[in-house]
Amino acid sequence: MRRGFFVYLTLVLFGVFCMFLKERIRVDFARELSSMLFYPFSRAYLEIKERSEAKKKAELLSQKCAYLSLKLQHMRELAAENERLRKLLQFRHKYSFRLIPCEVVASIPHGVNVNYILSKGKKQGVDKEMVAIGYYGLIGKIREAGTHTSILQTLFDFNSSIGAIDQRSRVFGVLRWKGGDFLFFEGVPSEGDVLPGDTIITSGMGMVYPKGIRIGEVVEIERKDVEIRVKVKPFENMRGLEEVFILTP
Amino acid sequence: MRYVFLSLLFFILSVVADFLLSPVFRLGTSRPEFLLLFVYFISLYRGRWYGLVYGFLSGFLLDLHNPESLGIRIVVFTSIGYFLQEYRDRFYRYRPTSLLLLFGASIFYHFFLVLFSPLPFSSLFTRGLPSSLLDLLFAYPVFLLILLRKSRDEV
Repeated sequence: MRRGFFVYLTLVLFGVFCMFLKERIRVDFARELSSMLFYPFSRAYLEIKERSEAKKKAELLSQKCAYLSLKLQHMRELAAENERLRKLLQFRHKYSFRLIPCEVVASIPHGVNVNYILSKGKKQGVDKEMVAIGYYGLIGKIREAGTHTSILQTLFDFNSSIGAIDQRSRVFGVLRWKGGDFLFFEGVPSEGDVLPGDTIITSGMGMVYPKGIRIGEVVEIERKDVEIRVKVKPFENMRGLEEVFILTP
Repeated sequence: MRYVFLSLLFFILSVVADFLLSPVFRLGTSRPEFLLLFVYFISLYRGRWYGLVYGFLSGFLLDLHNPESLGIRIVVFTSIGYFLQEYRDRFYRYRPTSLLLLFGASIFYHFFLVLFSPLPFSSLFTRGLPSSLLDLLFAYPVFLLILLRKSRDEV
């Protein structure tokens, strides 16, 4: 009892002593002591908090990064599309045709010929024998037109033959496909002025294709006795079409 | 030794509850004082020195948290711990009416605060009284648990 009371008295006296200290000293003392006592705990707490926050932040940032990367891809697509549309606009000013944009819905496994089904048909103004172009040049013509779809016959078709001229020398000829990734500019006499790098355009003589549409570039010339064999690489990639434009008067 | 560890564990739990849980149950300016509950129960139901030591520690801890009124809680909590454990044999602590002691201790604590801190006298009624009632509310389930344990021990 006595010992307990003595301890109690000591502790209470300590409390009373603290109570009557000057406020500034009291506050400083409490702060010093609490920082000393609780430093390891507060440090551990802060460490845990910081780590969990950092983890959350990292997750958030990785999400943002993925989102921005997607957005960047989308922007690149838009930029490319913008570029293509600009070119097309120039083309449109030059020829004053009305253009009907069509998506390629499917390719037709029709022997070795490269043909496609387009997303638009007669209902949308697409009809047989209409000319299809891409961003860079001629693609082909409409072989058949349904109500809502149509079949596109590209230049890579054995039945396709186009009257064409060399843009530089104005030499006439006929473009045909014989398989592979090239067209052949035929009917050019052996003295015809055709050089590698020349651009071949439509002549407008077949009554199907209007004059002046770019087709491709001369890549190789083989001179024979009476005529020359000219290999032309089309500007458009016929095997990977996604969208085409149909020229309507 | 087992009781020392257990009491230390409950002390830590009470500290956590007082600092983190108590604001959740806040009613206006009043809130339950879990450390006071701990000191009350440890003094009444544990050995001789428990009330004194934990009363002092609890008061000291609370004072460190409120350095402007350093010392007040040391005096109050140490006194509550000491007197409850010193005179616990005089009360019949397994009756619900013994909880009135807690109510008294809580009122004493708030009265002391009003007396020695810049708090206005009216806070005894606006803050002290509701806090004491909240203490009773939280103490009752603990009291029932102690009763349950006692009856099990007797069986």
